[in-house]
Amino acid sequence: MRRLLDAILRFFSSLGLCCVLLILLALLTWLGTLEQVHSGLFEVQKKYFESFFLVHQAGSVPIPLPGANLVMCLLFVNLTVGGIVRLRKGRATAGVLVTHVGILLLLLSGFVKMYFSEDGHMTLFENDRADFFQSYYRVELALIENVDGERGREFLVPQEQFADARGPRPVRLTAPELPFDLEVTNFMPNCRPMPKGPMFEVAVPVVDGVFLQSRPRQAQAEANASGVYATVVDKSEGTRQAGILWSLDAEPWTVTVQDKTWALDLRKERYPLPFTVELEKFTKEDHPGINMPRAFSSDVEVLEGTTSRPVRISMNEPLRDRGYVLYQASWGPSDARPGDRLFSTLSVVRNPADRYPLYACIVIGFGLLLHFARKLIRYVRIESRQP
Amino acid sequence: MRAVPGVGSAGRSEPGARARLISLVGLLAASVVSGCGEDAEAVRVIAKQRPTAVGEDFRWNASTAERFGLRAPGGAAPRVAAGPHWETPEGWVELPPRSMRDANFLVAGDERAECYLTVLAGDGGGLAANVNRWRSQMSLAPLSDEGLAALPRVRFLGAEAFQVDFEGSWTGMGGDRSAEDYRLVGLLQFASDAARFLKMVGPKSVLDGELEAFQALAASFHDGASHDHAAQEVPAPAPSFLRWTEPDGWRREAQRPMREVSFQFGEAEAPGECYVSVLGGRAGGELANANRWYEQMGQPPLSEAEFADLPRIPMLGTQGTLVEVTGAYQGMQGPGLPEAALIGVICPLEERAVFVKMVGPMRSVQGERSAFLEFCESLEFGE
Repeated sequence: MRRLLDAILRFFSSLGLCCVLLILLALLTWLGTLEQVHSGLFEVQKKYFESFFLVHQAGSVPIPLPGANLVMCLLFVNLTVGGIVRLRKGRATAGVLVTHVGILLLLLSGFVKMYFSEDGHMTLFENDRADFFQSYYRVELALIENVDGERGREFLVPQEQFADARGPRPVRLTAPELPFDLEVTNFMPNCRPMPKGPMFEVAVPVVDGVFLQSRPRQAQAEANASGVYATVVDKSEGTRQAGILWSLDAEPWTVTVQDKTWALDLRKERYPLPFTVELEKFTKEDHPGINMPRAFSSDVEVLEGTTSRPVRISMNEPLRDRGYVLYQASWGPSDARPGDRLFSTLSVVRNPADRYPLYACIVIGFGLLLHFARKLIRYVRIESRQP
Repeated sequence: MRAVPGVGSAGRSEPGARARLISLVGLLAASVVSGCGEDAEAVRVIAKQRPTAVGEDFRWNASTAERFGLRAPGGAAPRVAAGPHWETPEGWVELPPRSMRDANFLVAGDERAECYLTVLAGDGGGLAANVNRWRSQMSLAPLSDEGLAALPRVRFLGAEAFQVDFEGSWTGMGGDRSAEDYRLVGLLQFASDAARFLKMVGPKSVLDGELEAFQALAASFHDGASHDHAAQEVPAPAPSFLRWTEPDGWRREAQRPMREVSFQFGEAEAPGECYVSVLGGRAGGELANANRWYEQMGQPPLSEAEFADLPRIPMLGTQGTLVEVTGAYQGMQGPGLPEAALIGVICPLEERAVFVKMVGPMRSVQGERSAFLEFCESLEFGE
């Protein structure tokens, strides 16, 4: 048993394992970069960097590889165990130890970012305001009850709960507080509502003369528009109302159940903010003579209760507030002409490890400085002793 | 408050990973509780709720067309009260208007090909600037004054307009794209009140087949301020070669393609429907059509012997085969209907076949069975 434990410790603390893992990381970075020729960044990130295993297609040859997630977990273990078991502790190795701690902090920040962060965007025209931001990629089903014409209550269904309803077999969504169940069928990751003509048949239901036409997935995941068929089933009467939900629809689908009005909306997943952001003014400065922006910024008002404060968000000056960071990301419409109303898109991130990479770099820098300074002093001393 | 759909983003990690993990755990738990068998209905409990605002900005009761920015081909409802009206060509998809696009279409439903109308106050920069801007988008050199003067002219929205037709490499609105073998067809009109531009651009292979549709669209544009299309859109029933006696309590529906007549019956919340359709020849055969109905009800098909045993009823001077089947209805249109019943008659004539089909909630259909049979017997040839 002891021998086995020693073998495991030797394996996980070995310099050879560290080298293999670093080479794998470099390889995955290279392959992932190449893959972006064919796939969008989101898909590549999921496949190469957030996975434990993957199969890379080198032409027609499938190559199984560990994902960067697994490699970095192993690297974390390797550095930790190696630092404890193998590394000599003393003044001579203090810098190296500190550098190890910095790298561990860097890996930890990636882990926290992956599992505990939320990010998305907030897109506003001037004078618009929002107290939420929304995902670029993920959708959610919102069942919104009209309580009194002003206040509402929404029941939220994350994508995982209905994304497997790919065919006609329904997935039933229910809640004790709801007067109806919702049956969803024919979820399509990318589709478009089309009018049903008289001269062709379709394999999916037609509702109000419209059906969802499935389309190939876009390489850029945010360009996909999801859709689903939904049927509201009154719990007491058993009556059914059918509708189509599409993530790019202009308005939600309205149904009345037991004299109450509900809106059903398939939309990009929303994350609430602890404050409201109102876009006061969006400024775009172009390069002289052409329509290419040199710089753009958003003057926003951050509202909270009865207080507000003005903030300018520009390309390198994000708004930071209570763990949320709002960056100036983009603007549109891209084909706008002078005088057109523009919108500003702010990228929003809530990342508990937002500052960890900075701290990690400082620690690594300090460790390397300590190590090389010691080496330099030693070298100078040896040289000065030479006749 | 509805956020504007986002524009393209740079790379970002997958959002809501923690929520996803929690959801997955919940999903697994729900699966275990509800059973994971192949045939078990998937039931998921909605766990997340929160308050929201549904104030003035919230739009209730939007129609399907408004929600999806669609209108049926040939529809002509006014989009902007005082703006022009038009008729969307068959096969094109109308998109919601947006900045600089008062009318906006996908040509032939192809997302690479688009057509839109832009109306600008004043002269919109004039003929030369706009023609040459379009030419630069097609990687073409500017036209000379002689070339501009030689542009063909057509009538558009009651006034003269210049017509252009360019082929080249499309570089996009901002010169940021590159696509070979594109075509751009457009009309430019500089009237006293405004400049109007109707532009169709897309792959040449698509546009080559859509020139007539473009011309029809251009010809359909007219001033929309003085009239209302709503009154014109009420569908008038098309004449049928059949006559019938409408059963009491049935509600006649608007005319629909492929149907001689359609009715609804039963409760308004869960109506059944009955309709008559006529197909040429033998329409694939009586057995095949009966089995199509059986399939729609989730039932196994009939054998020839079983079909031969089905009852016959008198109809249109001959005998029609009466098909009665119950089950879960999954028809050509609309979602499924559990506990449904279907009663149909297939009546082959010399050169065509008449089908009468009634389908709906089982209780409603069974309650209307005698009315259905009387309706079938009342059918006769018209003048």
